[in-house]
Amino acid sequence: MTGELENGDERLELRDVETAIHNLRNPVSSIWSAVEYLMEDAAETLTQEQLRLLRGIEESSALMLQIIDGIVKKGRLGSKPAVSSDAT
Amino acid sequence: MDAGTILVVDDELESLRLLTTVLQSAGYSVRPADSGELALRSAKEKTPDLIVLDIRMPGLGGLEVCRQLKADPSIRDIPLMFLSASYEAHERIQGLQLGAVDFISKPFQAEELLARVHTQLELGRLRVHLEKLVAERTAELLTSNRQLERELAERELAERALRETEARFRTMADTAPVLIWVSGPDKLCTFFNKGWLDFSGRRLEEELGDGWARGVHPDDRDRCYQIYASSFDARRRFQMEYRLQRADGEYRWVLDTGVPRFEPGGAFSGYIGSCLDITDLKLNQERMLASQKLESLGMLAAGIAHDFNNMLGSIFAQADLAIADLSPNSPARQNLDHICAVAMRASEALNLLMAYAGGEGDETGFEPVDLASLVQETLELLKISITKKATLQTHFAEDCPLIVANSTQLRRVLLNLVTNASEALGHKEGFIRVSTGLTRVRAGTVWEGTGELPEGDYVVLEVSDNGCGMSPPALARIFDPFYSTKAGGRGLGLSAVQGIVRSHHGAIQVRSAPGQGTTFQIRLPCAHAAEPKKSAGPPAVHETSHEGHTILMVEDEETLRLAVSMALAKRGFSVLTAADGHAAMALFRERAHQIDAVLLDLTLPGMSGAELFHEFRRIRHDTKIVLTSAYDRDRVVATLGRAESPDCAFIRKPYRITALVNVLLAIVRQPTMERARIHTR
Repeated sequence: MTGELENGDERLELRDVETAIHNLRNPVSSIWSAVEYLMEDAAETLTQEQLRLLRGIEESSALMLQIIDGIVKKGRLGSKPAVSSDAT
Repeated sequence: MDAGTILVVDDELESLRLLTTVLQSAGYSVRPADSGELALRSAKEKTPDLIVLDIRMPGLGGLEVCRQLKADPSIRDIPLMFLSASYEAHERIQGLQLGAVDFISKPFQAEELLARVHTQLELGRLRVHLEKLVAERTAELLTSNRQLERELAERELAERALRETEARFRTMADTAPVLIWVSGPDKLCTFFNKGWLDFSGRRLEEELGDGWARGVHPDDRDRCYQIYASSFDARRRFQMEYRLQRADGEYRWVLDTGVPRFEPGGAFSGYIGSCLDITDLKLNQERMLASQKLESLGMLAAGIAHDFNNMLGSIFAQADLAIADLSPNSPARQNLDHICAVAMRASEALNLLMAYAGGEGDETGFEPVDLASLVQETLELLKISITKKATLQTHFAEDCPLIVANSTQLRRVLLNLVTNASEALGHKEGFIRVSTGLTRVRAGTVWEGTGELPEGDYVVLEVSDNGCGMSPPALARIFDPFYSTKAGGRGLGLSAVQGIVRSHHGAIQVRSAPGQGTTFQIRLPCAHAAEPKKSAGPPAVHETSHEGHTILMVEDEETLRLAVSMALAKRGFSVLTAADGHAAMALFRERAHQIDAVLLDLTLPGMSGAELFHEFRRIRHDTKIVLTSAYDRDRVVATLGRAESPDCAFIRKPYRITALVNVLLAIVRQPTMERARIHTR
């Protein structure tokens, strides 16, 4: 029971951290989508310098999404520790 | 063959001759004697096989001879027959009483005499033989008896040694600080030491056999017995952990080690084992593991937050730069404003991530804290993680005094309590109410579970919900680190909350009832009245003209460095950039007198931001520095050991360019006390 509860506490922290990371996904996706929209639909009204800046935003947001998805999909934070056998 | 030697005694010579003749004719060796005296001497000199003795003789009579013969141990066993012409019965009786074996009357028949002599001689031989046998058997018995006595003595010694060994074992077993058990070859237990019986609170009779298994936790019993049985069958040492019920009803983790026992001849005789209460050890190990894992988690989260803050910072800067050249009516402006707003939301989520992972603040740093402000800030971060069914209600009393506290720890307390309140609501709609206030504790006020609180003013933090609530038994164990009211074993973390509150010299109390929600109230002692409220930072300055201000920007994140430096340049700043500490030092030494302020990232590879800070100040003591970090102000203050001052400000990443410009302008416009002292190496 002790181990379960300790793991329970741990899962609480892991879950909350995962939730916090997952909560980042929406705003970052929103940034990425907004930049994509600007570069496709408003490119004609923007200067080369502005387009370069937008590409920088796109790259940053894409990288953040990649990191978030990597963590959430691979479940890196939720991996369980090895359990040792009782009998010898 | 010698038929035997017979001493014939008679005073009448004729009779003596006749007797001699008859007996010799039958093959006997005869020694005649004509008087009692001669007979006695002859018998003593050479013992005959039989004496035939006349009763009535002159001098020493037959009866007297017989008496003397029987009195002498060396000849007393010679069989003696009386011979007499007398028919007096009393003589015969007297003769027999003196030890004679037979009586023959005169005159005698030769055949009768011979028959009687033969019989007595034969009886004598048999007696001798029998005595020899008896002597031999007696000797054998004596030998056996002595052997038996030796064996008995040895056995007694062995038994005494065994008793001593048993007593020694029992003393050792009963004084050993472990629980000891012994089982026989049939798997059934035959012994439990005093430690075991004291631990279990049960009598020996109850534990013997397999009675002990009733004390094993039901969830562990099958596994436990399986390990015991399989090891037993294989005569193998085993070690297992299981929960054993203590006398007070609590299950304690024990480490049970069993080893097979063998007799000197090699025969298996069962097992002996010892149990050690490892509950506290296990608890410490698990706490340590949990702490290590959380530490790793914190490092991971802090790493992610650091990278994301830099990327969000560059997004802010790039968006600001892109906006700067757009006309107010450009459709792209709306999108770029949206990007900035969303990036701000993302930065709030990042702050929550760092708070969850414990990446913020100094664990040991206590400082004056405005609890209401701290709660408001934390709740802003928490809003996104509580259930959407909950209505968050807040009430913060005005003008509450400061408390001396660790901000990071208090945030964790609030995170725990609000998260629990949110989970208590589950899928039902309800409220979570968070409030702060002030109360006065009178002398002698006792809080359950805390004891008497010192008299004084206390700031109160209350978190309540109208969720599922808790039963009295659950409530009684709520601060037990190994207790959870929730299916799936989720812990409340309330033991940690209690620990934090205690470390702040405060108290925590909980009220709850099933279906009626839960209220946690925490009281924290106020700081002394003289404690000032925390500085709100440098005053905001509106962006105006920035011509002539030179900023050294030290930032390792290239995208952020380029975007921010461009944005600042666009606003009229002259910006020098350095990607690491060494480049920054080189630039600063060269142009210290030109630099109006340094924008310094605290997290740098190689030479740290803190080292750079002190080096800049060593070279030029009035260097104006704006510190920036993904961590919050408290952490930065703890790292540098100083709070904000007119020549030092802080801006948290990610930041908007407008906010950065305001901070920079505010600091560069502060009057410099002394400009000229510049030290270079």
